[in-house]
Amino acid sequence: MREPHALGVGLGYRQELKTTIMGASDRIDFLELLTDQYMDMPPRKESEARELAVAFPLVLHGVDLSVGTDQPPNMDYVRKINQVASWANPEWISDHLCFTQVPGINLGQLTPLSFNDEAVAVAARNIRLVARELEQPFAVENISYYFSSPRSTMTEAEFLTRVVEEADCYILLDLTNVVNNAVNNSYDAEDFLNRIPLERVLQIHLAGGYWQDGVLLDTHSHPVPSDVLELLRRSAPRMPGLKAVMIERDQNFPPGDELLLELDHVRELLRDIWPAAVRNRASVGRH
Amino acid sequence: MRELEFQQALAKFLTDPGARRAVLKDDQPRLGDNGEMVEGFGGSLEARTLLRGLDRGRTMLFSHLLLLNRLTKIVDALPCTSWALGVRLWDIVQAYNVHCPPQNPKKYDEALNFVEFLQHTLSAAQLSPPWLEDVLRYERNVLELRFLAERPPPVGRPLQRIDHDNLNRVRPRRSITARTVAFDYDLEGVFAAFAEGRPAPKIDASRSTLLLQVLPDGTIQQDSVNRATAELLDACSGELSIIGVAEQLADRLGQPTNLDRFRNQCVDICVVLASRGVLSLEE
Repeated sequence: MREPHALGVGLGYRQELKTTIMGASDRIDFLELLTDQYMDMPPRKESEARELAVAFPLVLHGVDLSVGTDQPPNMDYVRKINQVASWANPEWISDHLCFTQVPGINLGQLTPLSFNDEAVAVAARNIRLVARELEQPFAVENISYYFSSPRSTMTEAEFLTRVVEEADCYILLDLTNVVNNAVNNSYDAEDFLNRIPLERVLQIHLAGGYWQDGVLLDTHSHPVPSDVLELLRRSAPRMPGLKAVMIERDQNFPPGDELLLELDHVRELLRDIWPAAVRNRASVGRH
Repeated sequence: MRELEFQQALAKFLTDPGARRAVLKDDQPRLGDNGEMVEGFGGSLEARTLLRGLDRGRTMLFSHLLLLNRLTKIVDALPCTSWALGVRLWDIVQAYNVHCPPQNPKKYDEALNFVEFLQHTLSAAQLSPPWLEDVLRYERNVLELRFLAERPPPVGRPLQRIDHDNLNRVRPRRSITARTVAFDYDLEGVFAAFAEGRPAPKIDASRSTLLLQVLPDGTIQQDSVNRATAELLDACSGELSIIGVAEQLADRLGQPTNLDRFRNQCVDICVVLASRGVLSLEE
């Protein structure tokens, strides 16, 4: 398995942002492609992945691996990840620590797991089984969750820690999800970060959502809130393996310049505390 | 209780409003003559107890988000159908959610499944205005072309030019990336009203046929075609020679007075369509 390169500050690739992205390769260090959007698709999506791989370093991020489902992973799905990876040549591949499906139902949404020993064993086993089929490093992301399983016997921080250590994988740390979960589930975001193995954090996600019915939703529809950026500023120096920081935007797309300024702001915020934010811009080769 | 049993119960609880009501009211499942469950929630007593222990407001919010997620995919993939259904859409999507539990999260799969549901579940009266079926047919065909049309290589040897002395050996084959679709209404006024955000218009019936073709970048090219061209395209299955296609078409349309001239017209049309990638000409 190859050692991941430092990528810098990047953006989630979305069709709606294509024009902005293709015209700003000097301001975007890397792109994250949604793996599922390239699976079972017409050949134009393969062409797109190959073209983007020429223009930017890429990482792949999936939503439907469902590593938390108490069943062996779907190896046909893993084969398709590998197929997309053969087009995109990603630095690493990630998905979420959650479940999205059970036999007969695919929820189409990241659904929280029970934080207990059994779920730790299931997720760690599935991550190991998936990771050994991939040529690239594998990371799991902490999700936003709006309710807790009554079968939970440990905290989210303990659960995440045990899964990634038993699976021996990286963490894709979504700092917006940390803040959302802290707000929605009444815990302290900083305390959460103190309890997880930050040395395993490979990538950071940033996004903005909105409030509904007293709940802070993870909708990727607004600028990254200041408290999330502040958490990034304070925590990034504690992550020695951090290779990439990026913004996700999935709806309510702003003008391209606005999004690029937001990206510039993230880079500026990290300039003195995370060398990859600036050093990487000239040094990362196109694959 | 294994984690999988709880996950299955939770997934059903989150996606099936009837099951959710049964759990929250603590209704016992109603069984049929053969012991099968006909109503209620099939999970174990332990699963039902655990589900009742969930934060009700938060799980309702999450269930609502799951439904909104399905609705958003439908609206994105079937924009004109959604607009035509208007305020009825929300109730219809809720009924769809009950009849068709979520199984495939891909947007085009969800949308095509919803089209099937509309076409087979709703009565003609519910499928109003009268041109709604045409809009559905149009958007379904666009989705199928954009997402399901693979591009298999030509079966025979593709021809660069036609040898007019050898037409019996030239076989035209309609590309899988193109199809003709017949409509009972001229949808131009409907699409214009949709694009401009005007209310759904009243339009008179008027039969038309569109040739829809997906281009390599995924955009759809569409052209009105007459009945003869549509029939010609349907006959281009790759089995008949170009002469055979012309003769079959002549039979269907009523024998033309000048068969040679008709054949030549068919050849000319095939050449034009081949140059656009609608047909391939093989030997």
